[in-house]
Amino acid sequence: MNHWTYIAMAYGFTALCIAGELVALGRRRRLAIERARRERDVEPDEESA
Amino acid sequence: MSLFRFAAPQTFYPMAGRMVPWFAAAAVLLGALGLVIGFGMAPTDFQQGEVYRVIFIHVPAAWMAMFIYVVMAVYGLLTIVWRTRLSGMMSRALAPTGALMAAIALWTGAVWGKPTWGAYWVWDARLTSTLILLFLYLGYMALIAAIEDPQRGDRAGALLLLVGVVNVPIIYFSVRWWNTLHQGASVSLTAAPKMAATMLTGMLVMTFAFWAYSIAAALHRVRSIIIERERHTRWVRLMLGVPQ
Repeated sequence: MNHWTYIAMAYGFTALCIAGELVALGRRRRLAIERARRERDVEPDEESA
Repeated sequence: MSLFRFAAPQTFYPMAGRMVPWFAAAAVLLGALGLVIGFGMAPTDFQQGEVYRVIFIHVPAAWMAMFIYVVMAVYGLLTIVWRTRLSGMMSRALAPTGALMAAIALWTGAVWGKPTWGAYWVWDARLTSTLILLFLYLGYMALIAAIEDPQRGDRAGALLLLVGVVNVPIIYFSVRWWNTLHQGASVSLTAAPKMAATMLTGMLVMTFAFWAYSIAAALHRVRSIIIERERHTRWVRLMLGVPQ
């Protein structure tokens, strides 16, 4: 394999990883919001750290 | 005003939301600039040829993998000492990005190693300790996912982080302590860099891009974690427009 093939393997994998993480981030946020909207119990706010 | 006020999820959530677009934009712009410098301006290496261009992602990813773990360990210490809720959430939010950085560092190192050393992998001290770092990330994520009570999960995870952080100086100094196939540090705070200025500039710009990306990803993720954990509170319900 020539050097550009190795470079493509490195950059391609990185791009795939980042794309995968961005999709996972969006999905997690959507699921968190959907779950919060679905549930009905309410607890008092806690303003401490 | 106490700093702890900013560590309250209710205060931190909107602050993080305002920071995410700035860090994301910085990551895109710096990433694009780093690629232009790395592929358009940096010269071909006289020994390694073109394949050295892998370092523009390999080195920043390896640095971030170590740095993120240290930051997680600091949050782990805060979790154990002060039992702040946000510190546990921040460790959880950083872990997948840290694991990703470790995986990128290992993969890009392997595809650089094949044409340069003649092997994708050797059981060298630097490579092996970085592989252990990836396992520490995966172990942390598995541990917190296995414990149902989030606060208990945070404390158990914090202990693992504090024990595992000893691996970071081992990774960093492995090339000095042992005879390794992996080269020594090309960039040091105390010595002149051992590479051309454009190569170094490209690598540093990409490092800032990876840094900005990691912050944006962690802040985005921690906002989801805050919603998951605080979904029963009035402020989250008001923010999401859920009927009370």
